Amino acid sequence: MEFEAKLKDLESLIRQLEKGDQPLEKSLELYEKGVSMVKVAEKRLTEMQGKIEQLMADGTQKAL
Amino acid sequence: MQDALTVTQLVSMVRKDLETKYRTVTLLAEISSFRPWRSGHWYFDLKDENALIPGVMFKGFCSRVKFDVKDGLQVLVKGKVSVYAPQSKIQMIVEQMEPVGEGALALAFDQLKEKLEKEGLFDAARKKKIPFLPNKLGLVTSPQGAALQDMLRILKHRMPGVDVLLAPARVQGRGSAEELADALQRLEQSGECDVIIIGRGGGSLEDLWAFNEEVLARAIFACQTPVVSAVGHETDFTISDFVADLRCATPTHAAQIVVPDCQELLDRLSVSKQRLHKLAKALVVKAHLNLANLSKCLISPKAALLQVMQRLDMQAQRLEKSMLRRFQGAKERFQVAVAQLEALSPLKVLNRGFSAVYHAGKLVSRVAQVSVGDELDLRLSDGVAKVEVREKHGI
Repeated sequence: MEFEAKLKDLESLIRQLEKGDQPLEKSLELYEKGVSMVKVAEKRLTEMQGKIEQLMADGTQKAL
Repeated sequence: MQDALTVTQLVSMVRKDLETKYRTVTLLAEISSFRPWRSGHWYFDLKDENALIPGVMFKGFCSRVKFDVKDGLQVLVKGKVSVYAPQSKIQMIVEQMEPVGEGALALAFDQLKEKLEKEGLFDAARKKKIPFLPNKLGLVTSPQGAALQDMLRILKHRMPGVDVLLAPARVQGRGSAEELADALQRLEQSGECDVIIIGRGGGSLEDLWAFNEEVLARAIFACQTPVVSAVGHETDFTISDFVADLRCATPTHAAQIVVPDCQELLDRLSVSKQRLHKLAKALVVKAHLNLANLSKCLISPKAALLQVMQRLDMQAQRLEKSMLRRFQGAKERFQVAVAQLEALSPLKVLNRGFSAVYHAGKLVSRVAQVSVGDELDLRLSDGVAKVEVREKHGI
């Protein structure tokens, strides 16, 4: 799924939780899901390499 | 033989005739093979569809020209026709040069634009969505250009983690459109990029011309990966701009559009995290409250026992009271009965001097019940006296 869609899912999950009309069991489930969504998203942003390479005419790649 | 002319004489005569006849000529032509020399003079060809005449503009006149002279430009020139004697070459000595409204390039642009538009290359429905956060970003531009450095700087600032794959290509000059198209195809074939930016920094219309060529337009259209065109030209659009999935006015702008700001996203996530933690705390508090409410409803066995005992005590007291009440009633009734009994008791009569007579244990109330000689018991108030019947008679 697209990063942006995930972010929106997370934020709507939190809004749902904040309404407070869920049973405790369900709230805890949502909370745990939210925490793991945050972790995945943070990982996606912080664990990227940032490689900069050049695509040569023969299709090989080398660092720029 | 003496009438014969030398070559120099002939050429000189022709030259004089021409220079006299075509002293001041105004000519509408397209510039081609433009060659500015180190001497400061300009050499070029002036042409239309069918004919060509070489032109020269000397240094003093060149400095008065206020625009960039380039091949393909449509110009209005003023000057005279002359002959370059060493080659008998007719040429035009230009003294003034003005650009003409829309030149040949502009016309070509309009024609190509119309053609591609008709073919549907610009259709909004065909445009692909630019991903929000690409894993790998393809760049097609000159490795030497400032545009590349600008884009890399922005990318590093906004999203340091994004991978970049550059397909180098010349961005101006003959053959550059083909090079750009080829670089784009190579990126596409690598299959690694989520989005491709193709572009260059600003320049004159002629500098940007590669981005107006059909070969590049078709390559962009054929690309399955979303393509962002970024030709540094704020006001005018290039053909590439029309075909691309997204048009940005500059490479810098394209880099800003194509990747989101990493810090902004991390901040957004951090807000989410805080909200979640707050919610977790609220959940714990709520759970405690629930527990407290529930425990209010629960009674410990000891308390229950105490309650039962208390109830027992109460019952016992009530029982005692009611027993007492009943006992009291019985006592009273007993006393009344005793009093009644006493009132009726024959003993009371005996106390007043009466006595009861018994014969053989039976109460005697009539004379007929006894015979003379019988022994009788005389019951008095404090004892019994034995007596004998001596006589009997009725009253």
